[in-house]
Amino acid sequence: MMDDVDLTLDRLLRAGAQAGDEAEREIPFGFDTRVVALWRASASNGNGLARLLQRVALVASAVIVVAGAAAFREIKKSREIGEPLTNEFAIADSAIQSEISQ
Amino acid sequence: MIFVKMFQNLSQFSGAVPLEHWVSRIAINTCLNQIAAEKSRPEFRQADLSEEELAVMENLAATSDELAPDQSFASRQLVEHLLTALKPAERLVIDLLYLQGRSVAEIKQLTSWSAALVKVRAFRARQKMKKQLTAISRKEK
Repeated sequence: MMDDVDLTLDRLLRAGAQAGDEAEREIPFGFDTRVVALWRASASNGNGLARLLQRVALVASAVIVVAGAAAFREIKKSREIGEPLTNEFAIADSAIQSEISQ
Repeated sequence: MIFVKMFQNLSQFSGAVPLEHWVSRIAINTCLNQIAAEKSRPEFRQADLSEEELAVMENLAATSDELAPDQSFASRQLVEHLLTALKPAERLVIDLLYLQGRSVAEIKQLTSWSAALVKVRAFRARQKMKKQLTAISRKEK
């Protein structure tokens, strides 16, 4: 059988259950702003090693692009030079061959 | 509580370690401090109550009606205070059964306890809470 204290406790628990725990889950006012401000401040100082690696990666990428372009240009140039020479050699070769056969 | 501590000590965060590690360290320390505090002071005292919680106590003693919705937050705080003196398992069963409104079957599934154990723990927890509530009511008078 329920006594008075039991009923009182039940009333208290029912009222407490209504509140839920939304209030406790709220983050304090301005917390997110402070986190972002701190993150920005720390991002500007940065870690020395990370910044160095970043720069090395950038320079390396630039070098790869320049070297690639230069290599492509050289290949193209050598093909342009090589093609007429090959033709001349072929013409001369066929002329010699025909002369020998006569 | 952990959020508040983070907020207060945000200036101490150097950025040398990831934020997650720093937050988890604060959370662990807060929990350890709380456990230590509960061990050193397991009894709940009337001086721990806020004005709103005292008003809830007065209302509970004065009428047999349900508490007003504007007192629900203070009621929750009072319940939380009463829960601090309970064992973790008892605290859990009260939270699930009364504050979250789960059934014994659900608690059985969640905790892997038998239905009898859930009921026994809830009964023991209620007895302790009643004892505390009576003690506070007496002091108030």
